Order: sequence, then structure tokens, then C-alpha cells
Amino acid sequence: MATVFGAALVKDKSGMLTIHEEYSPPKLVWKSIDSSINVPIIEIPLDRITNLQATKPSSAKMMLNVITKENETAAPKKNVFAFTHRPTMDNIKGALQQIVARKKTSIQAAQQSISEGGSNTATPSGAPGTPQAQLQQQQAQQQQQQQIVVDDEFLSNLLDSKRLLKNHALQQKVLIENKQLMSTFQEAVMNNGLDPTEFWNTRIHLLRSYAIQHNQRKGPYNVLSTIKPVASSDNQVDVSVTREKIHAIFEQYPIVRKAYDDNVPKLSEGDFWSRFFSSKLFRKLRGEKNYNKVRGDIILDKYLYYDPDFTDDIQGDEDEIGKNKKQKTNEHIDKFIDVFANEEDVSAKYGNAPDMTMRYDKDQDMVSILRDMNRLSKNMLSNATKDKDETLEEEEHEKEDQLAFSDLEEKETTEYNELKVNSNLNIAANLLEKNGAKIDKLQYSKFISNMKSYFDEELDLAETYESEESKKQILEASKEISAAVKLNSKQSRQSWQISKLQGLDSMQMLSSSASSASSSTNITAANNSGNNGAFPTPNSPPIPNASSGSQQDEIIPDFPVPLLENLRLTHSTSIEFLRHFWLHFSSGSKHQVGTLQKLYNSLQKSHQRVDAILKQIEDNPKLCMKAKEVMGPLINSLDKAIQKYEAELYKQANNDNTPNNGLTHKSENNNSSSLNTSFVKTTT
Amino acid sequence: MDEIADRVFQADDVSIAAGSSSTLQAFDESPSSLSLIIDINPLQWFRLKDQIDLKDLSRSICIYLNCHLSLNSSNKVNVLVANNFSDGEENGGSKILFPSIHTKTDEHGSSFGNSQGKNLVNPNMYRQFRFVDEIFLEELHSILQKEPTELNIKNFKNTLSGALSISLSYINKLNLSNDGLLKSRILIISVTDDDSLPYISTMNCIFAAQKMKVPIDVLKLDKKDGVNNSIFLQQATDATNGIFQKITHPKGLVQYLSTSFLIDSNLRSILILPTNFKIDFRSSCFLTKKIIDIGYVCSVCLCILSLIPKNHRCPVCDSKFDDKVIEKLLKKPVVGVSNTNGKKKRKINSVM
Repeated sequence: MATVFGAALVKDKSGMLTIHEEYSPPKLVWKSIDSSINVPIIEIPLDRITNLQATKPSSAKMMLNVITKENETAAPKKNVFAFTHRPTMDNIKGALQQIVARKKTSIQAAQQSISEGGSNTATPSGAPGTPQAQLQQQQAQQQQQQQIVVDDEFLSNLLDSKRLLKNHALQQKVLIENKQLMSTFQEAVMNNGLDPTEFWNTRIHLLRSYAIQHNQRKGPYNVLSTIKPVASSDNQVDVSVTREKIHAIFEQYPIVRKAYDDNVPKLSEGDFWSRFFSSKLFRKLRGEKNYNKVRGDIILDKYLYYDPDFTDDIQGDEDEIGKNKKQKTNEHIDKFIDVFANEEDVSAKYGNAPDMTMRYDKDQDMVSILRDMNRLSKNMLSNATKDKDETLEEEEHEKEDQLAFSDLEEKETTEYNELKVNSNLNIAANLLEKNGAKIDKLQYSKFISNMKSYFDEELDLAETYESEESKKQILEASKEISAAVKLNSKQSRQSWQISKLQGLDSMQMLSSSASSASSSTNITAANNSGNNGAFPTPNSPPIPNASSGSQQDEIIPDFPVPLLENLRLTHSTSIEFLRHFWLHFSSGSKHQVGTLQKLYNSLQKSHQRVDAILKQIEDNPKLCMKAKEVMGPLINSLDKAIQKYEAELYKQANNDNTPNNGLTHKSENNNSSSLNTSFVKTTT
Repeated sequence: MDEIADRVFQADDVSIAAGSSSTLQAFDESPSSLSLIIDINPLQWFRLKDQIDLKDLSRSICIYLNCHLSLNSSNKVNVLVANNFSDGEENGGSKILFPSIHTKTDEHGSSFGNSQGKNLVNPNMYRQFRFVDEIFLEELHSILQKEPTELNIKNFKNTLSGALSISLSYINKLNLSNDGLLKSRILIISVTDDDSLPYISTMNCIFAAQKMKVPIDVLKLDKKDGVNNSIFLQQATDATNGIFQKITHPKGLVQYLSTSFLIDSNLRSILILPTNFKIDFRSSCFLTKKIIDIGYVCSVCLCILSLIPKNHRCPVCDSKFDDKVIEKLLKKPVVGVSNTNGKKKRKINSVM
């Protein structure tokens, strides 16, 4: 790349301003053009620059003020350059800004690497960087491999159900992330003594998916594309690179590693990276199209001309760089598919010129010889063994295979399991068997004979509405239909409940155009809460699932929020207990007896809690009725579970009703007093 | 069932909602076809004879058909009967009444009236209406003529699923010849309980209707104190965005037909449907045909059973059930006293 230079005046003496980037630190040099006048050369090491000032683009004067400091304590020194040409000044200003910004970042990077306790490659006077960096990298690779092994073991451990159940830290994390689960956990486990293992036992899938989600390793990805220089306020270009990213860059782009090995520690590590990110090399590797248009970096851009397939094996010297422009590769490309080779041999360009047998003006003798030879070859081929033919064919086939984009072809054959459906079961039941039994045969015959004469006379359609009875029933029917529509529209307002409980087609929840105005807010709410978010109304587009308590509560307008919350909590806790109850109840294992009994007690407590809530609001009959309606299914299921348990208990107690057993029962189950009382209740 | 089936209706409606007004207009003006399936099971009509008879029904149906035809000049109708006993065991079942396969199908044909030249409806009726009504009535009449007066048939099957298949095929044919512009719907006027329907065929019909976006409406005529037992039809309406109505005022039938059941399939998405029945989502056992709350499901063919078959094989697909699973299912709950009390006690202590 070209060095930046431009004409500039210092104290009214014209001269040339040049930025020498190849030095470290880079220098800004001003030399007088007129060598006859003895004006001192101004040299400004660019790491000394503390400030840069330029006249505004609008002003007529074009001056650049470079303020430097010799060291921290020294007084700032001004160097004023005047320009005659605005673009020249802008060019130099831009270059200076970039270099200064780079310097700043490199200082930061160096500090960071030191504070990270990383290698000392950042210090310029360190040991030869090349072996060190390689060592570092090897270590990193080893680490990574170890990591993989550890990860595999770790994952298999994670997926083991028993270990998951013991992993309390994991469970805690899951709870913290899932608030709803947390509240259920608090109610069921912390307040009502459900065994936490029980609680998690039914939720192993949650733990597992969480564990997997949070322990996934990232595969390699194109690192450079993820690095995006960000321009900060003070003309600084910030690039943040982590140590892992650097490793990944080295791995993916050996050329960068070579550049690094060659230049560090001549450059400091920080400086290397800041140069790298502003270089053309970086842009090229990232796959930018117009990388040639940017300024780039004089040191690193040499590596642009390296062979992109450069690998570690070829340890090129500095001198070799030029030669390597077009490096030969060991890669073998079959002529059959070599595009470059084809380019040199396009027969289409010449028509039939290359084939002299196809040209009339060619030497006939030559052609006849060729023909003879062809004939001979043909005969030889036809006499050749079939084996040879096949190998030829195979060869041809192989080449074709090479050309085919086999990976693009879809080869999906769906495999079906043949089901042998027993069609005897798909037979309609006998209508006579079911309905014909109790029919008076005589009356039936009369009825059928009558039916046959239904259409003997002209059908008067007016009869449908003329009689008094018809008029009355038509009115009733009309009322009934409107009532059904009203009811359904009401249900559509409570659709959040319905959609959750029954998964009803959301179509039914749509409001008619007449009622859409009044219920539009409810529809939005339902949209938010329901899982089937697709809610096609012309005026309210589907809103993604973002349930929030306040919006949900609008649906039952006269329900106080605390009560609703209370009901919800009781509901979810009870469901939790019910779930565990049925799990243990239907397992049929003898070891579950104790747990089952505890769960039974919890169910009764749940029932009491529901009753208590309903009692609280007894004085508000309307509210109470609604609450009952809402909690009805829960009460039913609690009752059913309790009944089932008690019935089973009764049955089994009757079966082995020896006095001995009864005694042990009483002495050992001190905590089952409530059980015994309710047991008595059902038997009496 | 919703889980298995595609949400075809929703997807369609989203596109309608997103569509511009011009597409909505196109929907408005597109003709629609109505398939009407009349269940003429004479046993049930015999039971209903005090409330309504086929003659009353036919009057209302004529009005209904005329209503539908009057909404758009290109509207089409198709009328079928199911559960007729007319031809005995071999040929009975479902028949197409309109468009007729035997009589004058020429739309401008001159021969009106029945075969004796008698008028079946008012001769002053609008020609297009009269054409449809007369064919419908005459075909129905001729089917009724063949109905055996004596109850001497041994075996008669519920053929509603057959009628449903025929009407779906008819709709499919219409769709093919109309580039899918014709929107179709099916109305079943049912008098028979549907627990006698063959499960697989009926479900196949329902899923086919769902895929074809054909709503199935059901008008259920039942005795006043009748226990409604039509889970299939209820689920059919639910799955296809149709209307289920149990009729409580049979003399006001025309009101139901001309309001509830005249809702075009295009309008389903923006109207609240007057279904007046709580859909029963339960299923029936394949073996006992009983409706069950909780049952067993074959993991291979998904057939539903209320009991575990003795041979431990699925009665439908003949898959062998896993013995271990069966053993698990057959386990009886253990509660209260047991001889592992000591063990149990320890467990409790560790928990507390």
C-alpha cells in the first residue's frame, strides 16, 4: 500500500508530510522541499500524539494541529501544519486518526492480556514469540480435546435421571428461570411437604432439557465474520476479541498465524491485532468484496498474496513471500473436471477445425489412414473380452459419479409400517338390534303404509308456518338460536380458559361483527394467554405469546385479582398433588404405600383449601358461584381421587382383616388419623 | 383429534384475514354447494311420529333448498338419503336423490310433476326451484314406496358414513370442475344415534372433510326426552368448523334451517356459530362400542379400548402388546396396610 503523504506548510515553508507506518511506533515526518533553506525535519512519533485538531471543513483555512507529549509529565507541544488542498489534509487527518486509535486499542489489549494473566508475548522484549505462540496453541488444542472428553462424560452424567434428581443446583436454576414452576414448588413442596424428589420425578424432562441446553458446546464457526469493528465516539475503532476467538482465528486462518509468528514480538501483541483488524488481509479473509479500496496495513497486507491454502507445512521465509504469489499446490485436480484446463481447450472456439477428418480440404491419404486405424480399433474392441468393456464402463461410471451432485439429490424413501386392519371391526352395528326390539309391529306397518302416501298429493310449503303451533315453535326456535349465539359469544370471551382446558378450535371463539367492538379487548387477552396464538380476526393480528397477569384478569372482570391469584395457586398445587397421587396409585407398587398415604392426606388438605377459599367469599353469592364454576372440575377430580383411594383402602382392609394386621396398622400409622376418620365416614 | 389433524381451517382463515378487500369480495360472490344428507331410518321416524314426520321435514327442506339456490344463481345442491331400508339387505343404504340418476336431468326439460304428470309442488313456483324440489320429492317418494311394511329384515346397518363418503366424492368432483372456487358444505339431518357407525370409515370421512375444508353441519332430531348420543357427529362438526344443533322445536324446523344452517362456509370465520350443544370429545371403545372416559390406546393403530383384550393383541391391527406393559396396566393399586411397613416408615422419615 502507498504511504500517506501530502504537501504541507510549516511556518510558511512548504514541505512534504509523510506518514511512515513501517516503523514501530509509526512516525509523522515533515521535510522541507527546498533543501537550500535549512529547516529542521520534524519527526513526530505517533504514539506521542495526545490530541489532533483540524479546522472545520467550512472554514477557508486548512490547518492541522498535532499536539504531542514527550511523556506523561512533559508540557504538550503543538505542531501546526497548514495545507493548500483540502483532500490532502483530510487524507492525512484520517490516517493519523486511524493510527492513533489503533495505538489506543493496542495499549488496552496489551493491558488486558497482562491482567488476564496470559502469556507475556505482549511485552516487546520477550522471548522469541514464534515457538511460544505455537506452544500456547498446542496447549489450547489439548485443552479443547480434554474439554470434549470431559463434556461427554459430563453430559452422560447429566442425562442420568438419578443424577439429575440429585443435582440440586440444577433444580434451583430451573426454578429460578421458571416462575410458574417456582410458585408450584413453593406451595407444594415447601408449604405442603411434598417430597422434592417426587416433585422432580415427574419433571425429569425439564431438568434434562435444561441441562442439555446449558451445556451445549459450540462447534467451530467463522470467527472473523463475527468480529465487527465498532466506531466509538472519539474516533476510535473498538474491536473486542476474546482469547478463544484468537485461537479460533489461528486455527481457521493459518495465514494469520504465520503473520503473527513473523511479526510478534517485533510488534506488540496488541499492536499486531489492531493492525490486523484494519488491514486488507482481515477484510479479505472475512470475505469482503471491496477490500482493496480501504487503506489497510502495510505490514500485514503482504500476506494478502500468500496462497490462501497456506498451511503450516510450508514455512515460508520472508523472501519467499514474493515467489509465493502463485504458489503451486499439491492438490490434484482431475482434468475431467478442471475448469481451468477446459478453458485452454475449448473445442467450440475452433468449430470442426481441430478434427481434420471432418474437413474436406485435408489430405485424403491421411484421412484414409486414420479411417483404417479406426476400423482396426473398432474390430479390436469388438473382439475384446467383455471384462474389459465393463471396466471401461465402470471407469466412465466413476467419472460420472464424480460429476454428479449426489449430495444435492434427495434420497428419501418413507418407510411405512403395514397395518393389517381388521375390517370386521369397521362394520356398522345393526340398527334393528338396537332399535327394533320394542316396536309394535302393527303400528309400524301402519306407519310405513302411511309414509308411502306422503307425496301423493301436492306439497303445500306454506303449511310449515301457517298453523298456530308452527308459529309458536318457529318463535321458540328463533329465540333458542339467538340464545345459543349469545352463549357461544360469551364463551368466546372466556376463551383463554376454554382454549387451555379443551384446546378448542379457536374458530369458535371468534366474535361476530356485531359483538366485536365490545369484546375486542378480550380477544387480545385471549390471544396473549392461549397457546394457539393463531387468532384470525381481520382487525386484530395475532400477537405473540406474552401472557401477563393483568391482561388475563380482564377476562373475569368482577374477580378481584388476589382471589384469582389465590385460586390459581390452589389449583396448580392441587393438580400437582393429583398428578403424583395417580402416578403412585396406578403404579401398584407396594413400596409406594407410604407416599401414597401422604399424598392422600395432601389431597384432602387441598380439598379443604378449596373449600376455605369458597367459604371466604360466601357473602358474595355471585362471585362465589363463579368461583365454584371455575373450581368445579378440580373439586370433582379431588373427590374422585379421594373416593378411589378410600374404596381401595376399604377393599383391602376387608380382605386381610385379621386382628393382628389391624394392630400393626394402628400402632405404625400414627400420622394416618385423618385417614381413619374419613375411612369411617365412607363406610358408615 | 385436533392434535392429529392439520389445522387446515385456521390456516385458511388467516389468509382470508390477511387478504385484501378484493379477495373478500371474490369470496362473497363465489357460489357454494350444499350437500344434504337425510337420515330416513324408518325405525327412528316411527318413534318421532308424534313430533314430526318426513312430510313436514320435506316441506322445510324444499324451502331450505330454495333458500340456498336463491342466494346465488350458480349455487348447487345435492341431496342424499341414508339408512333407507328399501332394497333389503343387499342394496339398501345411501342413495343420491338429486341430481337424479334416472329422471329428467335436463335443466330446461319440460316434464315436470311426477310420473303420473301430477304436480308435487305448487306449479307456479320459480322454475329453478321447482325443478330441484320436484326431483327431490319424487325420488324420495319412490324410495319410500320400496320400504318394507313388515319388520322382517334381520340385519340393517347404519349407512350414514357411506352417505358422507358419497357426498364428499360429489364435492370433490365439483371442486375439480370448478377450480376449487366452489365452496361446499354438508348438512346431515340425523335421527339415528351414531354409536352404530363404523368407527374407521366415519373418522376417515371426518378427516377428509377437514382436509377438503368442507364444514359438516348436523341437525339432530330426537325425542324430547331422548338421550343424545352422537359423539361422532358432534366431533365431526367440531373438527370441520360446522354447526351442531339438537332440535327441540320440530315444528319450527324451517327456522333452524333458514338461519343456523344457511351460514355459508365463507362466513364461518367471522360469525359465532349457533351450536347449541356442548361437544362431547370422548370416544367409544372399538370392541364394546361404549363411550368411555378413560381407556387404553393401541400404540400402533391408536384404536381405543375399554378393556385389555384377553389374547393381548390389538383387535384392529393385530399387534402384540408388550407383556410387561400389560402387567403394569393390570396392577392393582396398593394402599394402606402392607407387609413392607418397616421399609415404608423409613422412607417417610428420610423424606421428612
